[in-house]
Amino acid sequence: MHVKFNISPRFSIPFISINTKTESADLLQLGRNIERLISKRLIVGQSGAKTVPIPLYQIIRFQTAEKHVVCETIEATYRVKYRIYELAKLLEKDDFIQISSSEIINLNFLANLSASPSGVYQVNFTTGKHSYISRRFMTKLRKELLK
Amino acid sequence: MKNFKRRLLQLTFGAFSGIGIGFLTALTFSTVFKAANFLPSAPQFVSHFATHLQAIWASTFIWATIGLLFSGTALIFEIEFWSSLKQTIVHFLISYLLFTPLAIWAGWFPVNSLWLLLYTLIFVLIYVFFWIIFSQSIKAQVQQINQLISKRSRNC
Repeated sequence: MHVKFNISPRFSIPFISINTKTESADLLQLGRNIERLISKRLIVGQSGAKTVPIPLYQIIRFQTAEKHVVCETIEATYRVKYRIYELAKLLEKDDFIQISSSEIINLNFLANLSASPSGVYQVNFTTGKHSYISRRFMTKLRKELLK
Repeated sequence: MKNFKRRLLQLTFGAFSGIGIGFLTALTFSTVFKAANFLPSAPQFVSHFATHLQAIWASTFIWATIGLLFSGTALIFEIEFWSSLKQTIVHFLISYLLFTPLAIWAGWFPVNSLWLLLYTLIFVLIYVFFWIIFSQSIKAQVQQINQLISKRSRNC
C-alpha cells in the first residue's frame, strides 16, 4: 500500500486516514492496528527508582509476584501500582484478559493453549514463555475470543 | 463476606437437596417393595429405633449430611491451581472416607468384605468414568480455544 504524506498548515493536529474505494475487513483491521500503535494508552511502571510510561500494546502480561503486581514486556518487568482486580476493570475494553486471580494477559501475545495429562490448562505465549489459566476463566477467554 | 454467604447458601442448598433426593429414593423403594409404611431406609436400620418417627428423623439427618458432604467437596473443584486429576482424586478420597460410614450407618449394604469390595469398586468406577469424560472435555475445550486463537491471529 502506498504511504503518502499530506502536509499542510490546515492540519493543526496530525491524523492518519486510509483512502479506499470500498471498506474491507483487512483495512478495518489495519486501522485498528495503527490505532493500537499510536495509542496514547499508557500505564506507569516502576523499575527501581525509575518511573517509566509503558504503552499497553507492549505489555505481555500483568501478574502478582511477591505481593506486588508487575507488568512484563519483551524488554523488562516493571512494578505497577494497581491491583489485579483494578487492572481487570481498567483493561476490559482492551486486548487484555484475566486468566487467574493473579494474572492478566495481552491476547496479542497468546500463541495457543495446551493441556497436561493431569488436566492443567497451560497458556503459551508467542515469546516462548508460558503460564496457567484456571478453569474458572476458560469460559471468559472463550467468550472474549468469540467477540 | 459475599463469598461466605454464597458458600453458606450452597451448603444449605446441598443439605436440602440431600434430604429431597433421600426422601424420594426411600419413597420409591417403599413403593417398589410394597411396604405398608414409608421406610426411610433398610428395615434393619429402622429396627434400631424405638419409633418409626425417630428412624425418619435419623434418616433425614443422614440425607442432609450426605448433601452437605457433596456440596462441600464440590468446592475442591474451585481450587485454582490444582490439576483436574488432583481435584478428582482428593474429591474421591474425602467422599469415600466420609460417605462410607454414613452408608454403613444407614444400612445400605451389609458390612462384610464382599459388599465393601463391591461398593468400593462401584465408587472407583464412577470416578474413573467421570475422569474420562472430564479429560475428553478438557481436550475439546483446548482444541476449540486454539481454533479461535488461530482465527483471531489471521484477522490481525
